[in-house]
Amino acid sequence: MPARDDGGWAVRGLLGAEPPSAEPGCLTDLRCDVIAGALAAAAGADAAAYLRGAPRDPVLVAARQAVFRALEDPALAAAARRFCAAASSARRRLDRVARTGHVPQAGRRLAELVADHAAAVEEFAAALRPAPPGLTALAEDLAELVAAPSFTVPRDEARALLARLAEVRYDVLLRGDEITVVPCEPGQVPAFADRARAVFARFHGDGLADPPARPADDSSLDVVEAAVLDLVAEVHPSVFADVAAFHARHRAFLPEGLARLDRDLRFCLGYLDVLAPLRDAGLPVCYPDVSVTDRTFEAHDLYDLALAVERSGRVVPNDVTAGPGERVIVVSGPNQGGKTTLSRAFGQLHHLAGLGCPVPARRARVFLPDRVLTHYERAESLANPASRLQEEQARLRALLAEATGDSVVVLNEIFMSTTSSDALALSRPLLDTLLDRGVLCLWVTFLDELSRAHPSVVSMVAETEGEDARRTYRIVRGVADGQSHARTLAERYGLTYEKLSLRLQERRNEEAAG
Amino acid sequence: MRPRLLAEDADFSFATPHDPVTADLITDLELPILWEAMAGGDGRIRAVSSAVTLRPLTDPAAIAYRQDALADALHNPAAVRALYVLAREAVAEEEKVPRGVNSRSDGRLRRALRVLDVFCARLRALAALAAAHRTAFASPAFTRLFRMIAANLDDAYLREVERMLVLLEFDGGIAATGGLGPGNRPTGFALHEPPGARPERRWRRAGTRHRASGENDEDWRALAGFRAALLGGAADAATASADAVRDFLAALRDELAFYVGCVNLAEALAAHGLPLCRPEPRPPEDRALSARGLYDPCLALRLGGPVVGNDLAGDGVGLVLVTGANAGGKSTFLRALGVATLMAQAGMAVPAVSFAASPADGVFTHFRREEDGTLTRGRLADELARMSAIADRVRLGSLLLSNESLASTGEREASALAVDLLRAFTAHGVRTAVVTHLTTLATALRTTPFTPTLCLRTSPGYRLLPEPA
Repeated sequence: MPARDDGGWAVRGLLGAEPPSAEPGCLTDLRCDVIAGALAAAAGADAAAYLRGAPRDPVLVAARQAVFRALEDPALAAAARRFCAAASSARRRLDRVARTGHVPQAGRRLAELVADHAAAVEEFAAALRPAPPGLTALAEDLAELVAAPSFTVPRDEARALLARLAEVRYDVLLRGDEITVVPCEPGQVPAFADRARAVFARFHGDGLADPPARPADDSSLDVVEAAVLDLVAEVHPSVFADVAAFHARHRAFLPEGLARLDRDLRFCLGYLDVLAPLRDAGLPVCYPDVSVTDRTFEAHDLYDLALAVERSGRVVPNDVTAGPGERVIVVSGPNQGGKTTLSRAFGQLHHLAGLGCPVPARRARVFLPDRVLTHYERAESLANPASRLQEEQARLRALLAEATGDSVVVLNEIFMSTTSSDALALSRPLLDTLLDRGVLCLWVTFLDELSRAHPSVVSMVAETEGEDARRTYRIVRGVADGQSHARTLAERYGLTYEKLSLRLQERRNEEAAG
Repeated sequence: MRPRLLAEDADFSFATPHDPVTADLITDLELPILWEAMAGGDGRIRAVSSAVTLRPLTDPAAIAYRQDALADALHNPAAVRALYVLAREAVAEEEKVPRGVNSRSDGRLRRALRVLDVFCARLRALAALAAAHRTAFASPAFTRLFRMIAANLDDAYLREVERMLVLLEFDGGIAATGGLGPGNRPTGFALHEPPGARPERRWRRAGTRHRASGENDEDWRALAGFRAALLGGAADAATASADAVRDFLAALRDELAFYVGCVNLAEALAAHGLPLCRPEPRPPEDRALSARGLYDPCLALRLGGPVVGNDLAGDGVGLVLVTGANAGGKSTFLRALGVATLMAQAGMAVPAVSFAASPADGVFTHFRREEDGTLTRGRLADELARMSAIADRVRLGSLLLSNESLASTGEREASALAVDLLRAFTAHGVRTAVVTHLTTLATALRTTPFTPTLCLRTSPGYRLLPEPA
């Protein structure tokens, strides 16, 4: 662990690289802003910034995956959460102590802060013994930190001071607007409240619950409380001299070096928090196999993470694969069939896998692209068809200028403003260029012909079932099965003999079990 | 203290179920007419009556507990009404005591002291009323209530409470022992006995004294807050007591409201010369379903006159099939069966000359809708959605009343679907009573019954007669 000039210790960060300051253009198209929003709500905007971009270095990706995996352990995640909560609380409280002029209050708050923070750091350090894979460097750093005198001395002083303050007792009399404080009279057990409770006991029966514990009030003392505290300090001069001394010695206490660790942990924990309700809803999450050499693509039960976040997990996953020699995946079929959603899922998968994050799929094998380039219809360009086509072509030219053989391209419904034959005429050369460069591309289109344009093109068709087009299938054509309308409806509502019997039987089983 | 007039060992929850299935039941059985008759213009009674009838009991002992209490109420209508009015007025008076703007102990204590003062007078009156009437009541429920009132609300105790209320005014100031909480906040106060008018020497001698400046509102708020913190424990005891007494009186009001409602209903039906009987409880395994002179009280109340009753001999029957002419009394019969079942299992007297049935574990209705309120689904889809919601709730021993279900699709299709549904429900122990125009369905149920089936057919005069097998 590197020693700092001032004698403190630094703790290395977890994620290997700082979050980038700029955001690539594809993120809005892929609706990663929704994911980032959920993440910022769970983890804070500084941590969510990691979602902007990735080191595509496979070593860093593996290291980050190892960190995520380690934090999947609920016990360790809980310890990490407590550490993050303590770090954030320490920052806030320290700031407040600095603004508090009243030493009897400020000294106590500082002691509480030091003791709480030390306990959280120690607890986290203990949770990292033995160090889980992926967190060995962190475990070393923290083990050294908690043994250093710069850590132990303030901690011990704070604990001793708090123990003495907990013993302080005094008697107080409030008469009208006058408050008197005197030393506590020894030997008496004041229990008037108990007597009052006993008199009323008959009304509330045998089990009067203790009054609920009041939530910890974090506010500063008001004028009367502060005045009473000053009187108590007069009655107990020695303890309060020590409070003042502790305040003078340790007010510069800073949880230095742990800020970055806190941010990195918040990113990982927040990301897992965003996934948690989706996992509870039955959606899979996996750590993708990543490569910078193997160009086959494979994703099973892939889904749009942004949509899943918005719809609490109610999304339909799909399988998408592109074997050797298959570079362009053309998705066609009826509207509202989930094609655009699949395209976003495809783009998100590459972006998130590059970040070293767990991804929204059951199993995935991903080539780490140098960039993810997207083309989606822009809402502001709906004005006039001619200018719209020009604008689209300009954007596509810019996209092609950036695309290399290592890029991933997502195209969603281009050339919608022209006729089918014009769109096809414009699309073919674009397809040829993409194939020439060897770009991996997912292309959503209303042009069925594109799916048959070249042997390297994989065709996927969004297929729907039932009246409300709920489910999406891959390259499956629905065949009318000759059922009557009424029977189909009964099927849908679970009211055929078989389905209804099953429902009733399951309920009986549940009731018998529970 | 709990009144326990509706259940021997549990408080009754008056929460009315709000869900589409229950809403259909209420509409289909015309239950609001029943509740209005019970209420007699009193909104509280109406709310209580609806809650109780919509939560039918299945345990015969629990039903008998209410039946016994109801017998007492029917014998002592004036006493039950007087108790109800007393409880209702006590709760109303409590509600009139203003609530402080802040909820800290100080304001809460002041209010609790006033409320308890009010209640002490009301509880004295309640004890007197109970003492005057207790010998006329015989049911376990009322006997227990009166015994509890006599034991707990004696005058000596109420006087002790009133003395404590005076002490809690703290005229000589508030003394306490305290500690320091987080942030060194003075806290954890344990109250001393209220000091006398002149403080002890140790207080007078002390130099450590603070006088609130009173220069601005904040000072006064802080002082009131500190006073509230000192009072903590005593204020909690007093407010908990005020709440407990209020809860007791409110529960007493609500539970009595049910019996007052039953008395109101009995008087309304008696005015039309219509009978009510105490149903005979039968165990579930008997699958009993028999009645004589069973009529729909809601129809009688709506028409304001006597209506025709029907006999039903359905012991051991899993499915009752009702067919016949339009406007022949088929729907009325289904409603009468549904309402009587709910009333019997609420512990009420039922609209029949005699009634003996095994309890139904839930009553459900699937009635034909004249109009489809939703434009999003077709009529058949709407019917199936309602049936599916019922299927989520029915269980072994439920009673399902089906009135012209699946009339919105073709005869053959509808019959096939209906046979499927009825077979599945029957196989899982759901009893059904089916009114249908579907001749294919009726023929199938008659010729190849899959459960013991009782077939009824309309005859002139709104009478339903069994068809020979």
